[in-house]
Amino acid sequence: MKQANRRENLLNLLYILPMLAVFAAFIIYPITEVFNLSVYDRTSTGQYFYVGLNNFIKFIRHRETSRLLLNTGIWVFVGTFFKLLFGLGMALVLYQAFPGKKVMTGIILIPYAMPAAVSCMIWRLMYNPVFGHIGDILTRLGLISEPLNFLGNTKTSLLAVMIVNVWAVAPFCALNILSTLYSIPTYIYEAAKIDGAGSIQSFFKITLPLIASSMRTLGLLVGIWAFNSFDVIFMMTQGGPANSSSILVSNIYQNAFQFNNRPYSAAVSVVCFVILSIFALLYVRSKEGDVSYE
Amino acid sequence: MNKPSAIKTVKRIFFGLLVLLILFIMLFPIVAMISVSLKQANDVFTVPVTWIPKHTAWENYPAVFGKMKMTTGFLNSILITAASIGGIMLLGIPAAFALSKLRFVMKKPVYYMVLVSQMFAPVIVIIPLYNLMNRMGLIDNRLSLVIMNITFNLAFIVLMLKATFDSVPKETVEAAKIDGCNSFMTLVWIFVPISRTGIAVAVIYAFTRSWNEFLFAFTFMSSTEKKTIIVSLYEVLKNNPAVGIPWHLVMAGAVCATVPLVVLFILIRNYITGNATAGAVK
Repeated sequence: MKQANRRENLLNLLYILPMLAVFAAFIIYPITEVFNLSVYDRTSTGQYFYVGLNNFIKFIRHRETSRLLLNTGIWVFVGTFFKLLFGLGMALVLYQAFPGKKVMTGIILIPYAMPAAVSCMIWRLMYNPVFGHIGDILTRLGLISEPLNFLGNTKTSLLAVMIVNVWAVAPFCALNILSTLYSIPTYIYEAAKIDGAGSIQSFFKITLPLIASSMRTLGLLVGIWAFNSFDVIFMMTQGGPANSSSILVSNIYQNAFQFNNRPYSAAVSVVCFVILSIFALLYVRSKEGDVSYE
Repeated sequence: MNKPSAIKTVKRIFFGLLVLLILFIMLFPIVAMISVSLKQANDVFTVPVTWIPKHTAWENYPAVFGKMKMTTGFLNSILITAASIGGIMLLGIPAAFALSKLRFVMKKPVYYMVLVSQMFAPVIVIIPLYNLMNRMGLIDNRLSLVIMNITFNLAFIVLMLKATFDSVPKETVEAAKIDGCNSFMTLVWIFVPISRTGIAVAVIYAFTRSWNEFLFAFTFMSSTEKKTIIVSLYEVLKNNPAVGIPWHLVMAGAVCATVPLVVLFILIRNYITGNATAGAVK
């Protein structure tokens, strides 16, 4: 009997073997290759030679590094904060009963369902300083007197790209938070109402504490996505002007395919890998700690 | 009017305004897209911006496929997406079934690997992947994009399907076993038919993510006739200065590339936050 069990255990492995093979070939093996490449450098003739941790020292000393780290931090933390804030706001609105609620749920799905490339195209047009829609609205409202170049200005480029990202991801957060809100049994609110709690009080004393843990998990996931979101930044500004909207992952791509500096790019990848591993660990732990109220 | 009902009215008006504000923020880029897609070429650059086109240029939509030559882009996207979905489901359904209902060695480490693997962005391993594809002779070959779509969507889809299979009672497997089904027959004859809604939702997610894929489609493909629709549209933006871009045609193309996704998402809207994604995103 025991032997039959072991045989079954091994046979069942066949179900996951194809998936594991794909992971091994196209995720695990490339990761080891990146670590390997990061300790080499290349001569102008294409000869690779071992340099130890030189690329990492170069990364630490590079004059753009502090800016990249700062941009990544702003992009991840500020972006995630606003995605959760607007997501929570929209979820609280959608939690109420009102006519047209179903239509509204459908509408807020559109930015989320849209290809990132398409939303980047629309926003690039809308941000245009001459014939863009955003400049037009702000001028009509009398908020600006002369056209602003949102994407072409080193002070506003990161913010401008972040707005696009928040716009696209906040609906996802809203739907996610909404499903958590629905999982809170309504009798808790009824009991609080009988005890004389107002709606603001019951929000801060009941709703917020109860959704906090799943908000934390969601925040970690959205933060990890933001850390990884190369395409939005690349398509909007290519990290420019003057690296003002560049984050770590867009720097990896530029070093690899535009500046042709692959060993250095691999070193930045390793740095990203380490940072992501920490986040991944936090995510797994947070997911395990998630409470349900049923 | 007495006081409490006055407060109620004010609250209701305030709530209505809030709903309108949210709708405005979510919708105005989409309205802008549709508005530009129906403009004539010179109408795009007029200042101040005309929100409603002076002349509705329906001819922009046929022009996407005629003058813009986007037909091959669409066909490539359809081909690559279909093959990717097939691959993802072929590998994903058995894996999700095993993770949900079967015992096998190293189950827990495998589960954590699936969970964690979706957190690492493909851009981190882009150089080794490029070299690997190069050695396999797959650069500028659509098969490379299919392989990449399978690799980087598999974990997400497996977690989604696992959540679906989890909701089928464990006794089903045992009952099937008594009736003489081995585990593979149980999967094919019982679990797949029972979970067809969950599988359909997973297919739509796989569709969206493969259709939207940009990094590899942009990096691995060099000949124009092999590019996906997303990359073909982006290249129009990349290769022209802002005033030289035929924005009206690009936006018409963008609408065409978006409509299928929005329709599919509205079809599955009830499942986006339901059980189906619970395992994958929460």
